[in-house]
Amino acid sequence: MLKHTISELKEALICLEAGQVTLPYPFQPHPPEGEFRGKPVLNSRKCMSCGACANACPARLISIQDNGSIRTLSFNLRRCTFCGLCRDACPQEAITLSSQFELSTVTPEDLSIHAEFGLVNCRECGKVIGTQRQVALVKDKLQTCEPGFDDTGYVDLCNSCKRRAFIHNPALLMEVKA
Amino acid sequence: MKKMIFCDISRCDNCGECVSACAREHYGRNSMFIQPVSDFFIPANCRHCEHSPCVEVCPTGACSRTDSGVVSIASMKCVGCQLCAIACPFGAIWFDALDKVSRKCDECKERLAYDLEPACVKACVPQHALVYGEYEDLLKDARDRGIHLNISRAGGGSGMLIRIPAGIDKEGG
Amino acid sequence: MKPLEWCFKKSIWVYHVNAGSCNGCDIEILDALTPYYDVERFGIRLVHTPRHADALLVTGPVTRQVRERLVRLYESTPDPKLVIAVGACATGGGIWHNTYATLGGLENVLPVNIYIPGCPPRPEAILYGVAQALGLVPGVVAKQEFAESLSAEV
Repeated sequence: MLKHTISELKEALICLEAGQVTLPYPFQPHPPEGEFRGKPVLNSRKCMSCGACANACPARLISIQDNGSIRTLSFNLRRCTFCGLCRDACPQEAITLSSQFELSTVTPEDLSIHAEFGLVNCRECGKVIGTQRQVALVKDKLQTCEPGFDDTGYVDLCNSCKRRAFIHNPALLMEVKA
Repeated sequence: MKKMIFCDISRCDNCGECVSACAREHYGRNSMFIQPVSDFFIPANCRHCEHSPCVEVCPTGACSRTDSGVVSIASMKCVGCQLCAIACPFGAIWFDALDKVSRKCDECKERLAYDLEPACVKACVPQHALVYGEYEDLLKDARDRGIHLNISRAGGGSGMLIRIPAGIDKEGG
Repeated sequence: MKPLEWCFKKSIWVYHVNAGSCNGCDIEILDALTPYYDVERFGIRLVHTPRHADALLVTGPVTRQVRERLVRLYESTPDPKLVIAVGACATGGGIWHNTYATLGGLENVLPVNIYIPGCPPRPEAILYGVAQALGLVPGVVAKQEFAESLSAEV
């Protein structure tokens, strides 16, 4: 009997110690832990709109559409699962997952990212090759590597025009004397 | 030294056997193309360049060069950014929209492991436009047959030797 | 004060509907009811029948099987009512947005008052969403837009 009373008293003391456990959220902020994956943010300075994120996204919420001379990259974040595969796939590290998780909204159009980039067309046949940033990046990488490629004029040709044009370029042809 | 493919453009009659053999070998995804240019047909597979633009621009290291000189794309590492396709001077890399990766000729790595010739060479029976062999032997053979002029070692690598016929330069564009 | 605001000024009771969810969001909703997060501060509690409820808390991408039941639940909830879509699936269909077995999100079936995306949303996010629906806190998310030609001029 006495033992029982003592254990009850102990419990009462423990309960006195505990104090308030409820978070004061949402009146005070409660930031998430360090590795938290929140809303994806596109760094439009770095992005070259290559479509690697669209290829990786399991929910297929990233869409790439070529329309005239403009490529539109759009994220429909309504169905985002915050898996971070787009961030891992991005070769330019342009996508980061912020720590923002308070995404509730009345208008679902707020949950989207919309970016437009200029396209480059083949100088012979006019077929789309890639965005201006992709072509500029390729030229830059080819000129800065060791040893550099001097002639990067072929870069703005489409695949079938390149297959035809290389025989006019002695630097690519490299004839051997047999 | 590594073996390479010798291609005599003047013999190619665009029968398409090499293309379908490549597709059979690579599960329906052929990296061998035939580009018609003014009466002739140029094979457009990878030249496995000595200093490859595709390897230089690849941001993930998927496009790499083995010790034996074969340039290939590891499709598990490829993110499909298409930089290699833009950088390739021969138009040999194409984007597989189904698997969302870039694909290119890997000189039939699986067949080479069994000491077999690449599938396109094996299939080029009717015309013998494609021949597989050592660099010196191919040149010697070409000299014996009297077709040793205008041979291009495109890309400077150990991938292909191409014999360019005389008429093609004037008319092609 | 608008009539709807007046109706929801005091405690709202919610009825939780699982419309084909994987139970991830359901567990987070239960977390929001624990003393740590404690939604009962705001007078919110789960009720056992839609006839007592002021709000429907719907999770899941709305499968074909559940559509008819969901509409019946909606009709048996007395007016005025709030419909809250919890999770990526209810908000936009999630990774099942275009499969034959689902209807691709709650908005294709019912009029939705507030969307709470996340896979699953944190209990804090659910709390924030409900508090936003009650008018206690403002919405913070905004659309991100960019056009290359415009930035080149600047």
